[in-house]
Amino acid sequence: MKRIPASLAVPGLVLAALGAAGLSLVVGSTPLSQLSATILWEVRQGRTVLAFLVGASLAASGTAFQGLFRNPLADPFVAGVSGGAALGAVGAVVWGAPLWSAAAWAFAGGVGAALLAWRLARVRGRVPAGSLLLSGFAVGTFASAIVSVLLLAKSRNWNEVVGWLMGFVSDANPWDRVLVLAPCLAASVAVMAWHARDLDLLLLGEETAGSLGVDVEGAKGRLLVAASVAASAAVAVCGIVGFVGLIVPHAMRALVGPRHRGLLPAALVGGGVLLVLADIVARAAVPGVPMPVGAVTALCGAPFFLHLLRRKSLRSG
Amino acid sequence: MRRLAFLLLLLGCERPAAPPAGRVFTDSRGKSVVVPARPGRIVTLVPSATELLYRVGAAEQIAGVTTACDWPPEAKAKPKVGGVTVDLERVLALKADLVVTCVRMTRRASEDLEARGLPVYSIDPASFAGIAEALRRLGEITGRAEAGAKAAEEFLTRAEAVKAREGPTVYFESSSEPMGTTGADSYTGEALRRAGGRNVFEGGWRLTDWEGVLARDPEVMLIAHDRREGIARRAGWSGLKAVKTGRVHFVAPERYVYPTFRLLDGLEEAARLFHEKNPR
Repeated sequence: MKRIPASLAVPGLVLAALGAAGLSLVVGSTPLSQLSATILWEVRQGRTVLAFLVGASLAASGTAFQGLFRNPLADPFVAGVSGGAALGAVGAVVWGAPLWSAAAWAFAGGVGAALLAWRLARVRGRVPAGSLLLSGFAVGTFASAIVSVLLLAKSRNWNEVVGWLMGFVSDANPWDRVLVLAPCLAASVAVMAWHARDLDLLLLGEETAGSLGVDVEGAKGRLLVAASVAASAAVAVCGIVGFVGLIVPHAMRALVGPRHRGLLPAALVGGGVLLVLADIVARAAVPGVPMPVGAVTALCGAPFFLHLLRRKSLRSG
Repeated sequence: MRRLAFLLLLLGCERPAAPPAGRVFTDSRGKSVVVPARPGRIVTLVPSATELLYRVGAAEQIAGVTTACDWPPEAKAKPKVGGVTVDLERVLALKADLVVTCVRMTRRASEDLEARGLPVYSIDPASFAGIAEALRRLGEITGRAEAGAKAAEEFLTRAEAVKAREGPTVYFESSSEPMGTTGADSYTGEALRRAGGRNVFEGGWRLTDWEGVLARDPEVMLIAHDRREGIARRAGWSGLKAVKTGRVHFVAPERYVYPTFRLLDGLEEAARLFHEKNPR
């Protein structure tokens, strides 16, 4: 794929986002003739904004994780954050906690899982990226398993289990969720932007980065927390949506190149566009019957990922 | 038709001196199941099977139930064979001679048990008539045909005692986010219709999005789950007819979601709620 400078690609992606948002406003279970202002502006607009922010959070988180671990397979799911966050959020929800506190529990779970994986992977003060991925995957899978057991024991409602494990964009309370997610995303993106150059240098190897003046351990710790917060917040409001954090950074790297100053904004907008489009498919596939958005992202994400692999775009990671 | 004839034949020859060993019954799958003459070690895998068996007076013939089987209360004292999943070893250890379940909901365990040679009888009522038939069938199977027929009669009589004129438009919510509901084509949907409700959705059990509810603007809403946090902050909530007139009711799910006698409690409650004189 021919690279496009970020200064051109990002405005282009913003235009795509506006187009996707427009489409998202007109597609839905209600015929256009029966649309009310409430459905258009409170339900569909809220849902569109929420889907965009969830996609942006997951993609930003994936970008940071891939840079941090220098591993093209890293994403919030593999790092264990998604599973940990789902455990925190589901634990809070089955005991009737309000949404904002579910989000707080999701951070606790997501950041806790990430730190636990970090701790388990640490050998003599160093954390090899490969071990961290493996321990993250194990911690995340363990947490997801507890989520299933908890939901089945406490609610016996398969819809709800699927909603949490496959991702589901609410159209009843989207604005509540936007209010929880937006500040978390803003804070994590600020940290990632602050460390954008460090992320570039980390790609050269930790020792090289250190010799070029990067506070390697400090930067890694802050980026890990930032990436975990973004992904945990997304999981808290929308359940586990796979593949966005994995494929969007790859696609954007192929589009704008590996420098994070261009890659981060491209991934944010690109992730948002992808999830808005996936959510349109999720609600339009069978009109009136919502489908888990994670099923859509996996359905289109997996083949796209394989396509990228075959084009050997991974080399740039 | 043949099933009906068979049923009538069985009803006709009630209380034979000794029922023939290994009788054949057709279950909800249309499958012929060979059931022991008088099963004495029945294991149930769904709560509705347990409750219906208790209703036909087969309590002593039940050897095992699931952790979800909490009605009638004495069922909780029975040995457990599992909850969400079924522990096959427990079923075999209990020396079960018949498994009663809804195979659609416990397909894997049912197939495993059948592979071990255990007869699995499936019930899957979709209507009030279906519930009555399940009671009759379970009566016959357990050698209590008379009790089964009587329970079926009782069920239908109590259901028909609810004489409700056509009332408000109704939305029934069985789960929140994603929202689950039912149209008229389920036993719950039939209960709502018998209670005089006009369902805003069609079909059987299904999912819906919130905008579908907003667009239909029901006059009464029955919320049958406990995820109530944030419900009043749903988009457009205060503009809904049901909200403005105070006709959103939080109801106990167990009165609506099981195809058993408890559904009659739901029917009677719904008929009352749908025809309230002065709903605020």
